[in-house]
Amino acid sequence: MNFSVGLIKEMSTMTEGITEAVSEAAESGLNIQNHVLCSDFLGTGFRITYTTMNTWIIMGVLILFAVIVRIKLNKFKAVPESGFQNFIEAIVEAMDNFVGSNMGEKYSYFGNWFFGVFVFILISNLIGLLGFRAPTADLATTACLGFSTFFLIHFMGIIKGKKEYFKGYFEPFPFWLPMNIISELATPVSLSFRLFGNILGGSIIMGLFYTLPAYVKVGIPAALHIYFDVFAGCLQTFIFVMLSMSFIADKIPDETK
Amino acid sequence: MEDFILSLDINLLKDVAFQLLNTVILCAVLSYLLYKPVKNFLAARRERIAGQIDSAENQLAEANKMKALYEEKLKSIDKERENILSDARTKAVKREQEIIAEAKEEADALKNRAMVDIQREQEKAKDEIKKQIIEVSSIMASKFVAVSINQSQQDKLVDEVISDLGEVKWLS
Repeated sequence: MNFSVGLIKEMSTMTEGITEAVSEAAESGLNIQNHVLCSDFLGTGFRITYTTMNTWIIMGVLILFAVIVRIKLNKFKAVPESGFQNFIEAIVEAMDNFVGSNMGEKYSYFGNWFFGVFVFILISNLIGLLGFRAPTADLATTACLGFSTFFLIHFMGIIKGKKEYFKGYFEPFPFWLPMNIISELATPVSLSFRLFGNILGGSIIMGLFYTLPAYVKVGIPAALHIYFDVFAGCLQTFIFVMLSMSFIADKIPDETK
Repeated sequence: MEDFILSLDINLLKDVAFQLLNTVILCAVLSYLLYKPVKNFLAARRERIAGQIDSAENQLAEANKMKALYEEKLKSIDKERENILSDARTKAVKREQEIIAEAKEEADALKNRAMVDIQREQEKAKDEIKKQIIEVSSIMASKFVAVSINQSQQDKLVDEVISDLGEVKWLS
């Protein structure tokens, strides 16, 4: 107990150190640090941060887009004529195939969840290009995504085979139980910290780079943005969704695949 | 208002809960408005195309079956034609023979009738000759009786009668 409290304190000091180190960069107007906009949202006790704000912006854009798609869907032709229809069909079909190949055709209903998660993470990672602070650079967002994967892993494991699920904790040896529990708990932690660390790291490096003298800020930031925002953003999105699917598929009995 | 990068405190848990709510809402809306309808649209189209391909294949199979059936029929039609032709030929030959036989019969009948006619005519002619001979004889007798004749006259008369008879006989 003392150990864990000490660890958290240690980590807090570390983050305070990082915070100080980048506060200078943050003062130059860049969104390295998260900022609390409202500490008690409508008296619910929840706080509104940049993360929340940007999440809402992304949600608004995506929901608007979905509404447009829903309206246009009635005009979709059996033989696609518009580029818009082709685009929508392509992304939905790609997601469907992605889920189908990772989890099996029977579980393609997971596409409903993972499509939203995929699009949300992708837009969150790419929104840094527009000068917003990426919601995925906040542990709250990635932890919520990691927790939802954790929940789905164990929920699916239990409803698809109680016996195999609990037996799995005592394999290969019964005394391996603590190890198995730790590895199960490590899954959401590794998922959320991987995404959080990659995106936050990218934005910190970008923020620090922008504190450099003006003459190195011509052209070079574009390449860095392509790497840290576009490349790392897409890659981390793919990794997160892919790993989530594989972890859930692992807990589903093999015969259904 | 404070700035932070990572805070491991109760606020983090609250933020996680809030973000979870946002994510669930976003995913639900995207699923309801975008993913599911488009997926259903694609599935419906896939099904329709599959149905069309299936029905096309069925129709092709049916057409092939019909084709085979008609080809067989055509083959049997050839056979039938041959049968009909040979039938007709044999019938024609029969009919030919019949016609010939009939013609022969008719010719025979005509010939017979002609023969009978000829015979009848002959009889008639004979009768007539007889009658004429009798007439001539009676005329000669009457002439012998009426005129006294010398030897030369008698010879002349006999010659006359004979030449008359000859003429009659030749005529008949």
